[in-house]
Amino acid sequence: MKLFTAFLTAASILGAATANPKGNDAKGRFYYKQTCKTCHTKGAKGGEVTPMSKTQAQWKLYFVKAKHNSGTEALLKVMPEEQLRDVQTFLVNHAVDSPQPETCGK
Amino acid sequence: MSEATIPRRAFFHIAAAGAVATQIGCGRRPNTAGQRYEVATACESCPNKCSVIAVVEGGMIRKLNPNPRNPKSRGMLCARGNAGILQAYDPNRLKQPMIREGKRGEGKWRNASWEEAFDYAAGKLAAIKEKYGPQGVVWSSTESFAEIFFKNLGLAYGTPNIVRHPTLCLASVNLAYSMTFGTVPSFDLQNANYVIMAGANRFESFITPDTMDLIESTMNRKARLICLDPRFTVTAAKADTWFPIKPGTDMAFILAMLHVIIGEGRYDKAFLDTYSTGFDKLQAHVIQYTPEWAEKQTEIPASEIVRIAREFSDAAPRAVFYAGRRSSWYQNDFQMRRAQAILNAVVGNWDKQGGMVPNGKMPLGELLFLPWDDPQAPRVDELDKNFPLAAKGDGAYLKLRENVLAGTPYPVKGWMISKQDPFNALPDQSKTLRMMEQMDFIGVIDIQMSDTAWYADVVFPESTYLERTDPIEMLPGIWPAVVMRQQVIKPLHNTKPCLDIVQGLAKRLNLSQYFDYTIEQWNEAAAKEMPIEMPLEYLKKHGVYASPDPPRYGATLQPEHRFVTKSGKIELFSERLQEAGHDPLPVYHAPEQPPAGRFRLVLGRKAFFTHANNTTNPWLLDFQKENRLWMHPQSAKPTGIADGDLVEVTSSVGSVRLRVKVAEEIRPDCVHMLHGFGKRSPWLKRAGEGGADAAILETAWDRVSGNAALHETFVQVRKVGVPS
Amino acid sequence: MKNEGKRYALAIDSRKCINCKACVVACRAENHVPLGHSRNWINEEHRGSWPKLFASFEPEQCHHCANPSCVRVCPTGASYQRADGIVMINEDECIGCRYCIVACPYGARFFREDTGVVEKCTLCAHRVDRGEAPACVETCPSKARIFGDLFDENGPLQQVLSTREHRVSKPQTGNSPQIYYLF
Repeated sequence: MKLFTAFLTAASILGAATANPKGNDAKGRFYYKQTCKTCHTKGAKGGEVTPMSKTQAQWKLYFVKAKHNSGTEALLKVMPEEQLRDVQTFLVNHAVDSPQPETCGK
Repeated sequence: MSEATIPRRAFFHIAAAGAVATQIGCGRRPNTAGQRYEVATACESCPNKCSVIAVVEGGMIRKLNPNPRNPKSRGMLCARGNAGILQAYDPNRLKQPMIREGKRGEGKWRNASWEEAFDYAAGKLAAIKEKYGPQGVVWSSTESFAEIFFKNLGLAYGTPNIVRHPTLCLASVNLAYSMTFGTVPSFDLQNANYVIMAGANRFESFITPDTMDLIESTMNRKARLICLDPRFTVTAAKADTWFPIKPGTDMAFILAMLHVIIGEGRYDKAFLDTYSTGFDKLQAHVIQYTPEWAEKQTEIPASEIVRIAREFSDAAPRAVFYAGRRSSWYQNDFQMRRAQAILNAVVGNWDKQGGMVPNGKMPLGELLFLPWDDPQAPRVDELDKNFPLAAKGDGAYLKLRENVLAGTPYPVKGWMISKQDPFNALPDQSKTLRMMEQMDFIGVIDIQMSDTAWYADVVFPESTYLERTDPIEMLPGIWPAVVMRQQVIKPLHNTKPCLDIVQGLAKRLNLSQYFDYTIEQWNEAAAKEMPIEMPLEYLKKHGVYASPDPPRYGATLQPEHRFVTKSGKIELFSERLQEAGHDPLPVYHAPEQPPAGRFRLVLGRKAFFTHANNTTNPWLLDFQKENRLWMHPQSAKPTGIADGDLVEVTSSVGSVRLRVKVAEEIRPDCVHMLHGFGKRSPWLKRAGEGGADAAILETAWDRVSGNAALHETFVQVRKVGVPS
Repeated sequence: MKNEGKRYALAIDSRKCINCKACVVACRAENHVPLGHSRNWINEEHRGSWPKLFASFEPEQCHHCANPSCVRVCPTGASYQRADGIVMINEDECIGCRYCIVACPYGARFFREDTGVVEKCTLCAHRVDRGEAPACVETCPSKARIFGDLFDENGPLQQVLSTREHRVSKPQTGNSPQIYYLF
């Protein structure tokens, strides 16, 4: 836990804007579907990834590390910073341990 | 464009259609010589979306038949579903856009072209945005296939104040099961052997697949049905045991069942060890709730509570305490539903045949577009502060109304409403009326001149479900299916489907980039991910696509399965509730009881008019032309009230007049009236006589979900007349 | 003759009836039955006093009797029975004398002022002839009605009648009614 906090602090010191959670959930969902899902679906080369693939803490950590393709390339190469912020917000909001009560309809 | 004026030829066409339309429902076989064809579509007489096959002859809908391909609705169509034809051929329906001319509610209207109506409404909406910001408009709607377009227009406009129907319905259930299991499961009534139903009246109030399954199970498989209800309903009549439980004490009954089941070691220990968290705390918590204690609360004998608890756990996992399907009644409704959810968890019926099953889903694509910016202002109902655990996108309707009336935290001056009649759906009509009166603008999309529409500035007539194509939708369930509602006949009048109305407004609000598609494009994108060839063609032909595989159970019963909760387990004890300042385990608080001379008003539904919107349908109205106040003879006699007398029913917020039905079928401490009667709009003159429950219901809500609590009103009954 | 060798009838499991009226509306739509009249209906019985209460429901319509008194009394032959057992009314021959209404022990017939003829349940003969079930049978949410051919030994009707106890309503009339109420 301590290590994790240290990570976050380090990230904010480094000024990684991607750790800022104040993105737009709906736009994040769009970028995720438009960009991420082209590879991250069942059978595709990235393998299936959904918001439910990780916990909120794991997603936050993922965006702190900000590494893509098994840690080999910077996330910023996939999409620009403000889009990443939106995607992060979407993924964290809908993570497997997120509070997201179901409702009737969409 | 043709929007501005109706071409003369089209006008004659409409007039002719009207003439033929009047033949429908009058009992004469209409002259329908001409081509006969069938269209597979989806019903919209209620929110259940059963599949129907419309038979068209000579351009007119002759009959609606059930579509057996739907694994949910199978071969059934209820009374309302059959009477749906009259929705299209209702002579009093909205036939063209209208703009208010007189004072609000005065009833002076002028017919307008679509162009005019759009211009007028968009002008008003732009002016409110200019003066108060986009948060100055509330956007409210009820769940339907096309609701997404209407809701998206509100989001694109920039208001945070989207308020949907769930907090007038069963948001408390959704939240309680979500907080416990991370999802809202279905109840496998088709295979259950023991069903406890508290308050829900599934044989009378709402005819759905659950109704079919339950009647088949109880009558053909001898499944046991236990009914708890202060009224002797049809469900009570069909039950093995009916307990006229004291209203508001369901939670005491459930906690005492937990006391017995846990105390006698009748719970599923292996299941709870693997999949749940907080059992030790639950065990300690329910020690206090003995059957003897519960008897005093519920007026159900302790020995019977013990019997039911033992039978229930013996029948598990094919035993369910049924969660649905009724609105919410008390300020502890969420916690009562939590107690139910925990009881179900404890006997290990999760994801088992005949138990409680997480819903299966089917893939559906979507038409992607870059959405709007987030709203700048917080919600007017201050959801984050008042109900931090509630579903974010739905709002809390009654708190929203309170804040709008108080003008806090900011003024709200506009109201867009689709497929909803807040005037009758919300308790306390006088408050709703005040909310409407303080608006600079109200726009209503509806198929009829509802009481709410009557108080609006612009009324946009929507095409009925038989005249339009809606977005296809996947219905999750034990046996999921994708269903399609498609146009059966061309619109009979100058009406439009929701998407067209939204587009007309969006164009004038400079928001067209979010609505730049047709319903066909929308549906093509949705159908794309279905696992069949030519999916849209399939849906157009059959109206429904169900998975060819029968339901499978137990997919989540893997020790590594993660529930969508904070702990990843089924949360008997909820840390999230504790953090939000609520009871982490359901704690019983006895409900207030009516003082002498007063009665608790309990509501109910008949499946002819489950919501307020079928009481103008003559085929349905034929079964019940008025709502009467049910009163037990013990309560009626001392006050000199006899069957058929006209009475005035008064609460702290208003009074209504209706006639009395003296009936053995209700507890002496309660009175009951049906919802949906006593309409004000002169356009609904064919609607049933009687009183509107919304006129006397007081404002109260569930503390956790913000769900309206509809059984918290005490009333006085005074005789004002005798039967004529 | 069409449908020779068939004998259509209904079995009704009243325990499953929840008085939802789907059958009544389906019939109204299918057969254009005017408001104020109904070709089928649900008998209700409410008994007892609080809190020992009972309620039961029993769907009813023309019993399509094997020995129909309505056909016997009809002076013009408008009321007739098809080979498959369905009792029909030929509207062109009906003179509206209403003898049949009096003769029917079940109150299944009514007179229409607007058309001047008598009407009743036809078991949706027009649907049956297309191979479909009567509208009331098809639409019923609880499937309380079972329609079929009594001569079809493996059919749904014989299956239920050979395994479940049943009765008919008012057997003493000698009409030999063909709605079988299951116990």
